[in-house]
Amino acid sequence: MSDILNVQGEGLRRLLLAFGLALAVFGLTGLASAVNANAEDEVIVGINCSGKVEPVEDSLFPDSFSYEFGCNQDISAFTLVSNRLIDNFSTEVIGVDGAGEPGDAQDFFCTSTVPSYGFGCYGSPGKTPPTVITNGNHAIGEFSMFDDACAADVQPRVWGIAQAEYTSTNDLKDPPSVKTWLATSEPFLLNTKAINCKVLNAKAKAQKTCARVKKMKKGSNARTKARKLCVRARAAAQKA
Amino acid sequence: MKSSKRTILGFLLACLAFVAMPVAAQAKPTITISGSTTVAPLATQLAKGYLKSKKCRKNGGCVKFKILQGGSDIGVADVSRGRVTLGMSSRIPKESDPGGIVFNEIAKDALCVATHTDNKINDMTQDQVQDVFSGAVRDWSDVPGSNLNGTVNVTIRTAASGTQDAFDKIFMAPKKTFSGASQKASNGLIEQQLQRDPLALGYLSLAFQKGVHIVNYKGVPCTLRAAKSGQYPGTRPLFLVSRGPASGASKKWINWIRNNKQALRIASSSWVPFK
Repeated sequence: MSDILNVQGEGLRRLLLAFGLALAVFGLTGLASAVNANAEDEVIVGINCSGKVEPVEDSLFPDSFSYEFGCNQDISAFTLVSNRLIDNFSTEVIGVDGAGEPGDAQDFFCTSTVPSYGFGCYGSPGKTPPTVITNGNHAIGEFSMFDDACAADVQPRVWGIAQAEYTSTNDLKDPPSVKTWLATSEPFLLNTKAINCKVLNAKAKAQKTCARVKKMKKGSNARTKARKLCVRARAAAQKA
Repeated sequence: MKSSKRTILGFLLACLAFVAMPVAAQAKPTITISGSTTVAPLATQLAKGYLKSKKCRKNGGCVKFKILQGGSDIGVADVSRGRVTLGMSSRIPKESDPGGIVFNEIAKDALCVATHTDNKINDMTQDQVQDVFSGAVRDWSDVPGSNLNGTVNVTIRTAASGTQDAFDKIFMAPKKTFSGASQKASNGLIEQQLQRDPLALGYLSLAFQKGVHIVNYKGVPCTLRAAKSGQYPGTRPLFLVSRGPASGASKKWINWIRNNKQALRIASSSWVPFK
């Protein structure tokens, strides 16, 4: 750097000191203006959601999964989206508390096209106030995939999008002004660790590996090696 | 000259492919379904089963389903007005239903009287059911077999519900359910109410029995086995309603539901299959 700036020793130290001071001054100014900006801006309460997907062992269909998620706001509707085709889902979903007790009238109906990449759920239509799954409660339901969950090149993933009431409060005013509006959250990724595949697309990989056997010269070491890899790949595909 | 002819031919073929692709993509029919919240879980499972069937998969996926709900009356209204391909109904046809619709039975269901798990009432006769659900008897202490005291919180389904209609016809006729009863839009909500309220009394489709106490009716337990054998007196048919006789993709699906082994296996998990 000193080469670039063509300064050395004391000169460099002074330059760095000046740079540091400038950074401090502008940084403080920036911070002050940020504080001032926040004081003038309204505070918007956003929505944060989290959840998980787990396999279901005793379901009628293979590749069945349970999902569970909750948000820090009351949810009036939600959508789950996956990178896998979904062909079955719970048509009714109840909001439950941490102890598994159902929340009062927290009952959602789910609809979708099947197969498709997700489904949407809403509270009892026409009710005032609208049915919600309350802040702190969890929506719990099930879905199943159209294809083998691991028959793809990427791990299965599920995202949620929740609809909630956003609120902004400007309490610099007297009386404070409060605005509320319905909005959807950003997509939140559910924890799919429990359904991660040990081997992805095992069958297709086995087919590709085994196709190489015929390409090798008969009786050659390469063909023997390719055959061994093929056997191994087929065994892995069977296990997966 | 030759190369320009090839170019023109290639261009024409590309145009043809461009036109043909959306047409091919649209060739897969969509069966839209709305209606009964009781039939919805069965219909969704049967849709999946059909999509996975050899015949359907062989044809690259022969159909798509769009599944909505709303209650039996909504399903009947929607299909009669052509808004959906099929309506789901958990009640038999009413005189007031629009003309020209056909109720295609696909399975049977058992309706179970149920209470909170604290209420150990074992069995109710039809007279007892009618007395409590009509409001003639209001306290649990007056219901034989109940170990509780307190006002019975009668919970029933809303007016659009086929389950409510079926309950009225099978259990209550000629009496009517109590006008002060709490109304819920689905089996799930009734199940929820029964789980939370020790004094609640309601009725549920057989597939919704989690965390509640099921009461025998006329001495017969409300179980899938009893329903399949015909012993249980509270069974009712479930329908996919079509506008006129079912045709095309809907007809194929209904025939599959009624005759295919896999379909019958799916239906027998929580319902009485068609055969």
